Amino acid sequence: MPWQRLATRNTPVVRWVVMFAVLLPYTTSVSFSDDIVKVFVQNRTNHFIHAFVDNQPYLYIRPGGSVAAEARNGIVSMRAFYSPGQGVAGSTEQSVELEDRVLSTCNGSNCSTTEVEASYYWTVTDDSLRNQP
Amino acid sequence: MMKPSTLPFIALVSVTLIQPALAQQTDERARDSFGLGLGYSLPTGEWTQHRYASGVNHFSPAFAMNADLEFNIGQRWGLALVGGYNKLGTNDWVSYTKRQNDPVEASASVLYGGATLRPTIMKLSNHALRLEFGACMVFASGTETYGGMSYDYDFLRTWRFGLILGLEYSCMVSDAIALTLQGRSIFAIKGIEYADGLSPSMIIVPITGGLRMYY
Repeated sequence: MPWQRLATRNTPVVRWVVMFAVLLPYTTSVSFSDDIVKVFVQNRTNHFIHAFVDNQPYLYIRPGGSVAAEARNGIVSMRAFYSPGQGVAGSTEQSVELEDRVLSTCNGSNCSTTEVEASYYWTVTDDSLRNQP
Repeated sequence: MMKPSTLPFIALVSVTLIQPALAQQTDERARDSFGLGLGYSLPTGEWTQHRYASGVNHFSPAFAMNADLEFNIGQRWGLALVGGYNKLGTNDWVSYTKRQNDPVEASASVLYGGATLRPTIMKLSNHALRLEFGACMVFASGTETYGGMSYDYDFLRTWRFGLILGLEYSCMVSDAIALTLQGRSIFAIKGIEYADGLSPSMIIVPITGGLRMYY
């Protein structure tokens, strides 16, 4: 059987290949962040739009669709325009300051703190896009 | 005008017909090998269509190349590390936007790397036909320039787990070299993921011709 041949052919190269094959499905990316704020971009136009939150692109958001974008605490810049090839043009941009907050709750002498993640809902409309060609 | 991608096929047919006695009947399957192929990549499925430009391909066939390192693990079995590069054509989409008087420039590509098992399913003289199946990681990327602004295709920029299924025909032309013709299907579930939730699977079929060198 090939499996037996594989097991008996115990060269370093074969061992590396087998290890790579076994571990391949488990490869993943992990990110850690604790200073992230959420920006929800809502497309209320009749066309697809491209949106950028802190220069990160969120492309081809369908009419009526929305995306949950992430940005760093602080001043968050946002920009949106009609996706290309639709026969319409227009863009809009704005900046908002978003910071996570820490709420303290006390019950008698027992106090606890809760971090509240800042979030912002940005609604993009045809009117807002057409005001800034 | 003959397309460059047809040249490897013509070379393969020529050698097969003219030089059948050139190769000795060697037991090439008992050796490790290195393979290299060039050809054409065929992206297929819903993901190739543009989201709102009806009848327009966002991604279309283009150049492909792949390479592999194969280790013999049995008389009829090989274990290979495989990798490939597939250019994704964007001409259809770019032409469409020009016709709309709203021009963009765009480019995109798909890389993959993985491991496959290769059983030989048929062997006649110096000809062999081998199946290939395995797993890979797929990474697609692309950029677009519109209105003087360049941005990455966010829906393409993540590693995805994928499956490989393929077939390789090889013809030994010397003791150490075989000509190959390979078709491979790379399937990535939710291979692309738009920000608003749409995430179709990605299927790419690179067809390549090339060389396999045994050592």
